[in-house]
Amino acid sequence: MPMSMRRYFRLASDCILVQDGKNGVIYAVSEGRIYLLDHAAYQLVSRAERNEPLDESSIGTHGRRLFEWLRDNSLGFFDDEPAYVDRLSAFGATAALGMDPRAPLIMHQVDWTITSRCARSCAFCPRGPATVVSQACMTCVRQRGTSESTNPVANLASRLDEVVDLGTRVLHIRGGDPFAVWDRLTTLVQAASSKFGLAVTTPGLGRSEDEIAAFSAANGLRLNLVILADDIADALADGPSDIFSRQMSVLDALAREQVSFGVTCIVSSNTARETEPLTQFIAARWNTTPAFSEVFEASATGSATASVFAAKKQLTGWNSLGEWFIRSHRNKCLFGRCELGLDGRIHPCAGLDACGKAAGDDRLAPVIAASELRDWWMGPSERLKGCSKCNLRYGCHPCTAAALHTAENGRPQCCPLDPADEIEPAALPWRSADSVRTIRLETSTS
Amino acid sequence: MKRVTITVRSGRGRRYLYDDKTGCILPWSDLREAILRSKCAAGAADPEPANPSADPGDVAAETRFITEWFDKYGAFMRASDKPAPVPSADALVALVGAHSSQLNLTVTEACNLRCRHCVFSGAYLYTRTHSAAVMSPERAMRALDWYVELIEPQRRQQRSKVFGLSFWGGEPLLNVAAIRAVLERVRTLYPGLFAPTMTTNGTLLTRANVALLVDHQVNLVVSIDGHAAEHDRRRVYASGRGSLDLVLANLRRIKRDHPAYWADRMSTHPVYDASTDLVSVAEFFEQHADVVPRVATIGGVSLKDLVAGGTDRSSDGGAEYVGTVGRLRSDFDRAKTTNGRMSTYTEAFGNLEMSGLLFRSRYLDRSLPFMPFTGNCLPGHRVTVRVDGTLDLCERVNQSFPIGHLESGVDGERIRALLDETQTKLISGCYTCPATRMCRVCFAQTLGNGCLEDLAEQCQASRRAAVRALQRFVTIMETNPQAALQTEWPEFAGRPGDGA
Repeated sequence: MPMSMRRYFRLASDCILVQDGKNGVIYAVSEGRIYLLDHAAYQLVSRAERNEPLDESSIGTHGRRLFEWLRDNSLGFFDDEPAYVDRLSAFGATAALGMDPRAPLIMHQVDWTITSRCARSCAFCPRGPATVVSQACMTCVRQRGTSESTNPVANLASRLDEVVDLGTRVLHIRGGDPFAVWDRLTTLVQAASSKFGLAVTTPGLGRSEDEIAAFSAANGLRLNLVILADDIADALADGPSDIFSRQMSVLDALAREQVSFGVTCIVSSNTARETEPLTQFIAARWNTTPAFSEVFEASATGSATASVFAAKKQLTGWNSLGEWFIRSHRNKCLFGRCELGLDGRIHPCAGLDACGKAAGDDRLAPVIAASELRDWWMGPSERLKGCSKCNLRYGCHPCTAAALHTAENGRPQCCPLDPADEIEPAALPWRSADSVRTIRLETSTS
Repeated sequence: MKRVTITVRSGRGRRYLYDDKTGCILPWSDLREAILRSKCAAGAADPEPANPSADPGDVAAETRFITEWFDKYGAFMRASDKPAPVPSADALVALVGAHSSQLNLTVTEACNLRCRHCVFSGAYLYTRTHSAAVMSPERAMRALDWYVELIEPQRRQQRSKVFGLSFWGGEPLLNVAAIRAVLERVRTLYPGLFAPTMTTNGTLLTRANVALLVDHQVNLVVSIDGHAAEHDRRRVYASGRGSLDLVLANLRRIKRDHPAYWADRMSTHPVYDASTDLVSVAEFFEQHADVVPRVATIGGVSLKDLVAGGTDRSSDGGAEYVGTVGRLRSDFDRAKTTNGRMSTYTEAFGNLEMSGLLFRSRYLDRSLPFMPFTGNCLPGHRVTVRVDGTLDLCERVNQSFPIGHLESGVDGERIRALLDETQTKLISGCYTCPATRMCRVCFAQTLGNGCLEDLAEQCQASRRAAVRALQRFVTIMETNPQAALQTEWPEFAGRPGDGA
């Protein structure tokens, strides 16, 4: 049928065109996939979404082929007349708009930092605000320095009761290395094991591998072992260092004792580009896929950091309609969580500044009920000016802590996706190839 | 498997299909219809399109579309099933504690007016009539403490949750002592736990009473129906004298003395009946917007068939009324289509029919497994305490089915019996209904003398209202995708090409 007989084209009800005024991205919600449009393709799809009639004389052969490709890939449909398209929604209006002011803010997970002590002395670790960590929630980086003037578990009973009141399911114990403060750790674990699922993030160096494995097995802990990607790279090239050997022994012992564990690799500018060998090494030895966390300088916008970002440029899909819904409407992080810091204060997460009053005055429930933390978790996903106009905002790396950490006047100073980079991102080799595709009008669809 | 969709045409004649499985409204065509029919006939097998003249590419794409929506979202068809068994009585009591969101206190059965439409006027079955009975302050405070104990599981889990606390009557301001006692107790023992609300006829809003309400920031709903010819037709003293002048005078004084309270905490809830001149009433609210607070909701009285289903009552003299209903809906639709202004009365009236559609549940919304359909709340969700301490399942039902007493607590067996009957008489028929996500049927309409009445008419009326709302909705949205109606996707909906 000639195009003139089918003058309209609309994206399917489960596809969303997100635009920043100059460029557009199609989020195919049901597929969990992102289609990056080049400028010409975006212009045509945008016209169609405005219910403008299209005919071949105005859109050309390439345009017709574009729309036919979209149709053939279930991204839209031709029509004879303008249409209203109701977008597939996961939840009804009340949930979608957060209209219920009584909606509770449940902290599914509370991170409790119990020490800054650690046997390692990583160059980036104790540098405070100068260090930004992507996915700080999964690492052992001491962003607030090494000061440890008080025992953070001294008023254990009252604090645990407060955490129970938050509806918390998982208590995440972290440091430093919690195994370096054995008495604190055992006291906390014994008091909390009947109330929560327990997780511990650790470099795994504070006790012997047998003690760590036995203690974890006995108390049902899930361990998240933090490894420097540089150490793995060195091991692959020259054999393992002494520290990495000890960490490998801990992981071997955990596997032997059938303790639930995961591995987080901290990548640097040296290793961010080549994570695949690291993934293969860990998967082959311990049958698990590592998570990656990244450390960089807050002030760095120069070549070193830029090269990391350029290599990273990570867009992610989503696994379900519900996950898409949360990402597009709420904080990128899918958990409700907060951190009880070593400074005694409450932080939205380990990578961000504290909410609430001075140390010692904070009780969890009032701080969490207050608007500052509530806005952080319940507010729209577009609180950052730099992000609110970016058409990649719903597919960007889930952790916004890094962007917020470096924000000035609400505008992030650095971004793994570089929203100012208008056209080029589509031409770069995106890492998440499975969930991201590029559509170019001038050549062919791909 | 039965198809659960509704097909409607917009004002321009374009077809749309509402799919009750996903809650989504899809642009529809002959080709899609043919493919879906084939799919329904073939069950889960690949459908065979029956339109040989269609573009093969379109046929393939539309076939894939229908199949994918069926496979991914379970769209278009629903299998007959039965709900999960009603939990035990003890479990139901625990569920009430875990779900209840509002405590209603009927602080008095007395009223200084004798409104002709009042639920306690003696004109309705199974309801009490006016009496001089009042709830003692002690009982009111006991009810408050009892409710706080009932919701303790929620308080433990959700410290920041705020619950409703509503004062009802009769005219609640005839028992200020109980209201004051409760509000003071909330302030002292449960600060921040409740958002208090009161519904009043507005005649007793004296300076002292208003000061109390302002002090405790009580959300105040005033019953005012429109101009004198309308308001004073029903809302009268025992002598037959109307009450509008006094109510308006009170409202003027409140606005003068407490302008922020008037603006932020006050609203009106008008009612109407078959004799109401809706157009002139809407004009009244427009012209008196500087005195009469915004209209939040509207209710019809003795008109359930007209309100819910639009039954043509021309045979009994309702033609003029039906005409004014149509006029007001047209005004609403026109304002939405042009992003124009309208009175809050017109907006509330237009939303009366639209709300079921606008607030429909969507793809991942889940109900209680033993109440998968209907617009019913879990009995006790808005638990109501009578003057004598008897508990009702909400403030809107008649008095034929109490669910307990303050002294003995929630009666799980009573709730279980009601839910069993609901499953048998109502929910069993919902699996084939194409409008379950817009259902308006609830216990307030269906509870007869201690049991559910015949529901067929209610269901039909609810479905008719759904179809009409769909037609109006797609007509508006097709013309004005930015109309302030689409609430589920604030970012994307109705803003194609608008940029984010």
